[in-house]
Amino acid sequence: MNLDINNLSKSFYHVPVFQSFSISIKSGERVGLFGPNGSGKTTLLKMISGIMSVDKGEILIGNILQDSENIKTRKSIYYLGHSLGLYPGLTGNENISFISKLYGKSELLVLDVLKKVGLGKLENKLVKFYSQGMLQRLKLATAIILNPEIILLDEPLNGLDNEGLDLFKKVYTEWEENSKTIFVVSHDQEWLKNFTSRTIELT
Amino acid sequence: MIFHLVLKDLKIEWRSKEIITSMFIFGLSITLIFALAFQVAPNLIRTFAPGLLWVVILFTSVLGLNRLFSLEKEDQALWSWVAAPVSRGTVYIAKVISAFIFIIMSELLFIIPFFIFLNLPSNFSFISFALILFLGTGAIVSVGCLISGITLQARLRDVLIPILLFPSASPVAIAATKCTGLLFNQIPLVNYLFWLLILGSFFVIFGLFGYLVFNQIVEE
Repeated sequence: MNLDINNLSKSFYHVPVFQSFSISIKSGERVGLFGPNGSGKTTLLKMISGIMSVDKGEILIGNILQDSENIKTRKSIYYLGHSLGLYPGLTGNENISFISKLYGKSELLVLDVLKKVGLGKLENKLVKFYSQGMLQRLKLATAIILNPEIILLDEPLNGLDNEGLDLFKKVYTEWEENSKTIFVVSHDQEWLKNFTSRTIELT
Repeated sequence: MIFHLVLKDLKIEWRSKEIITSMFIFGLSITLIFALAFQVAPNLIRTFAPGLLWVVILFTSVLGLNRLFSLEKEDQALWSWVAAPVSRGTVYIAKVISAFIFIIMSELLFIIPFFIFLNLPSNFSFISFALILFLGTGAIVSVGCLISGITLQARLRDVLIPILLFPSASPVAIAATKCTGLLFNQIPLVNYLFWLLILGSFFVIFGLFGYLVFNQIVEE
């Protein structure tokens, strides 16, 4: 699925972060995004995912305009961000089941996917007791279950141990083979160069 | 979808018991303060009791609404539904239902001590009282969830909720106090239908308004 951003502008308290920013990402393309802190990397991903509003310009998800009224476009995107986006008072299984229902996906796969990411034995543990690495795995599990066309990854390697990194690479390769459109934000430029088809620097 | 959203709130509350417990204890504390303050003029209590009851309900509702929406801000849990392909109006309706359940449950817990501590007579229609509580709480919740949604992204949300809710919900407090006062004086229901209608209208109008605008107000 294509992702087109045309003349996007966004300001915070009259300080512009984006001014007429445009980019076109073809279906199945893997694009890396890097830049200094405060350059708007996370802001861009949040606007694409629909979490944050846009001041000016348009975001087209497969030629359909992304806006707060249009719920169809949100089905094709998943944002794996810095913050959890999970309820600390629910277990790992309950969180993923809840999100699956929101996206109209079957809950039957939840346990299998949790086992796949190494959280099978922790499915009934409250998320507030998960470590950073476990949380990252849980978010990865959510992305696997939702199986969206466009995946937005914000520092996906943060908190992962060696085993977690291997798991991420395996899942990432599967996404690549299934021609998912991937937009990754990372400070690790070396990793971006190796795992994406092109990189963009935000200044 | 509404069922799943409400069930999520109920599950979290069932585990933590934070919302209902804090609302009950707070409601009980205010009731005790009123009971002690009015000891000097016990004959005035019956006149003031309806107003005091709705002040307690309004104050405890602020506490409950604040906590209910704080759950969404913890670890940005709200992103799970803000980014999901669901109508955010549906989320508002689910929040209204969850808040209504929590507030009604806390009311059921502190209303009995309220009558005991203030030494109030209970020779009135319980069905009419339940109807007033239902409509009054519903109206407070529909306004309160809208305001909690508006302030969801605000840094000073703890302060903003009462500042915005008290003036917005004052017609509800007035109408509910009038109904309760007339009920306590054993005046038939037909004589305060007008006030019940105001409560019902608030419930429905703010409920619909919240459903329609929630989409825009929850985005960052």
